[in-house]
Amino acid sequence: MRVLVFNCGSSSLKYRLIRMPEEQELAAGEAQRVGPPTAEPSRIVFRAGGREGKRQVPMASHADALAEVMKLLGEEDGCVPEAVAHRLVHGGTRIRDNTRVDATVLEDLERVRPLAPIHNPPAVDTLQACRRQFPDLPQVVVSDTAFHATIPPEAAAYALPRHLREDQGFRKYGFHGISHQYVTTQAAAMLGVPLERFRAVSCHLGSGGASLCAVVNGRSVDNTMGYSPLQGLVMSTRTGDLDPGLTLRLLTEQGGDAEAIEGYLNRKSGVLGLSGCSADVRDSLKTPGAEGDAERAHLTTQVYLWRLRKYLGAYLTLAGGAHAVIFTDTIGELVGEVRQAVCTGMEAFGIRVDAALNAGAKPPCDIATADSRVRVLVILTNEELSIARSAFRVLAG
Amino acid sequence: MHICVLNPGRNILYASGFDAGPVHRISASQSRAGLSDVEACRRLGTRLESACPGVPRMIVMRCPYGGETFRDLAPWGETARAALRAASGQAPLPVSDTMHLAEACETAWPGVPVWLAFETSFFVDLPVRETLYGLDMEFMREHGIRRFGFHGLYHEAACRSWRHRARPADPARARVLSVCLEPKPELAAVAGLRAIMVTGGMTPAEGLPGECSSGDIDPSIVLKLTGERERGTELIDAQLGRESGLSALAGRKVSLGEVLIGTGEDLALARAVFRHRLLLACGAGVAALGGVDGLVLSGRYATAGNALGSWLLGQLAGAVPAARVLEPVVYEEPLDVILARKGLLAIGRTGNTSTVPCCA
Repeated sequence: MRVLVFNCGSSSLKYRLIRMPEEQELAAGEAQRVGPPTAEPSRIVFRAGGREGKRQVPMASHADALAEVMKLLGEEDGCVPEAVAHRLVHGGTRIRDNTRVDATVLEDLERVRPLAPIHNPPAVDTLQACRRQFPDLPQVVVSDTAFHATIPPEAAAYALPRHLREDQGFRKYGFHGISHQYVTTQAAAMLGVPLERFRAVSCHLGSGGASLCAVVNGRSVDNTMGYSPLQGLVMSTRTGDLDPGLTLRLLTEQGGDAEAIEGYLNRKSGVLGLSGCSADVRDSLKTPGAEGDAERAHLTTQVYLWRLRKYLGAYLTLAGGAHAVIFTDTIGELVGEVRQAVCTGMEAFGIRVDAALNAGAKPPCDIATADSRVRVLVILTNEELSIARSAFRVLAG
Repeated sequence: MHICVLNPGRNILYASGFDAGPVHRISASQSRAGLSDVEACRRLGTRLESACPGVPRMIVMRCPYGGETFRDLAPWGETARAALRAASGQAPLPVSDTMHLAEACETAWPGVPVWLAFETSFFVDLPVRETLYGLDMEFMREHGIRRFGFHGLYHEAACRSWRHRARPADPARARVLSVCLEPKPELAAVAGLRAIMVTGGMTPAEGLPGECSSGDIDPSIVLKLTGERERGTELIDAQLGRESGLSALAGRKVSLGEVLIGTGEDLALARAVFRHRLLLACGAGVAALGGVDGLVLSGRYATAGNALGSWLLGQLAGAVPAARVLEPVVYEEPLDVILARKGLLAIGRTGNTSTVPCCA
């Protein structure tokens, strides 16, 4: 089955066409600058059938982008999709499982639009356009929150009054589920442990967002993100955990402007706020120079790593006898210093990293010492493949 | 000779009288509603006289917040007053209350030295990486934003007690998880006698869920509560600080002690959430310390925490084998005894009750 995976950004539409169950990529690309005109024209960057190219074409909406992508695929032999899988960042409580789209699911999708105001609307718009333009094509929605539907009540519940928890939906949802699920599955296979017995802590450390996931018996039991992607680790521009009293204090100082504070906590904090100059922790890791700059950079990395270490310890405890710690996504895959720093001094948890293996890591690989009770794996995430697998499972029944 | 210990609550002033030892003689409480602090102190003094006649040799007062200045017991006076004024920006209400009450003690017990015991002293030396949030560093420095803990008096006494009982080979490097079971519970990870990590934050709102307080919560929820529901920050503060927590999970007013030992179905979610959050904090603490040598429980619900301690160590042992051989230690002394001990130590160090500046 040829499964076309769509991953929408606010002004982009990434796609990959994958033959399942062989997991062979047939085509891939990205529609860029979708929406209102910008300084450069909108275009599709693509690869298919061994060739690469760019096509400049007006795309005023995600529906336009969808049509152009389908036209492009139709021009290639063997690239007409037989099913479409749509990534949905936040499914809330209405879309808890990966599911085939029907009228009921469409209604639910409309209700979850506001849960991720930047990511959900373009995904829902694209899905609806796909239904209109290709009504006979089966469609599946795969959400980042679905993997975390197994988080138990004691981990999902905030200590809030019932009406806030249940009526307002203030609970932990967790994110990056597609990635966590993928690397968990890959890690279990690498170690030869049946997925239903596999215990791990998955560390999705991106150059933007980041989260840890505690996995017990192949299922998510906690995630550092919460009701929103703002909770948890110190991220590139997000603060992560914050004293509620401090949030209220910031609000008071801004005259109660919640939108302004939300913007500040989501886009001007984290590594960017700490360092004062860069949202990328790699820049802080390698800052030389004047004392003031070096001290601030050092503190930035210390705060970033410390929060990561504490959560790693917390989730290793929850996982109780983890088989592995898994590092993935940009920072997790590429920055050996972060892996080394976080795992050093964790011998009490049975973790020992081999410095040479870590420095020369070529994923997928195991960078733990031979006598480390817990394996430390570096695995490249592949969210589109994970989405295709989930969609295939849904459609194949 | 006797010592008067004062522990101010929001609406009630608690006091205890001790002889040297310290030997507890009497406890009393006085509502503050409708009374000046001076009058409340005088009425308490009258009650204490029945078991502790005469003027106290010193007054030791528990203070919730002292900022980075106060590292130990400090005598009330001009130096302390100036230091508290400087710290008032970070915690205006508790600091103001401390100053008013200290002045009231001066009036109610003229000539009796007043010593201030700060809950935050134990956390002044938290490592910088633990104190900072993921915010603009300059902004944090300018506004004195940093993490503290708020049960330092219990943590310090409990850890000392643990050292005395466990007799570690190298006390200066002993790694202890200290769990204070009070209405706003708190965990501290302590190396030697230095706190390395704490669940409390810049305010007591952060951390473990309390009897009526939410504890850790996604910052987006706080913003949604104000933004969408158009509630002012004071109302949200009240909702999160006095209408949430374990009582909200249970659907009725509960104490932490009841949650820990009760068996009712209505307590199940509250108990599960509390245990879950505390277990995560223990794991974080072990990671912060690089290992664990002991677990000590303190606070008014310490004895209810006996079974909790064994459960925590059992769960921890799944990831940290060294925890398998540990036994939880319960430190049962109440806060007024801890304060009295500190007062007596101060007398012993200085030979008198009115000198020795302890401010940094």
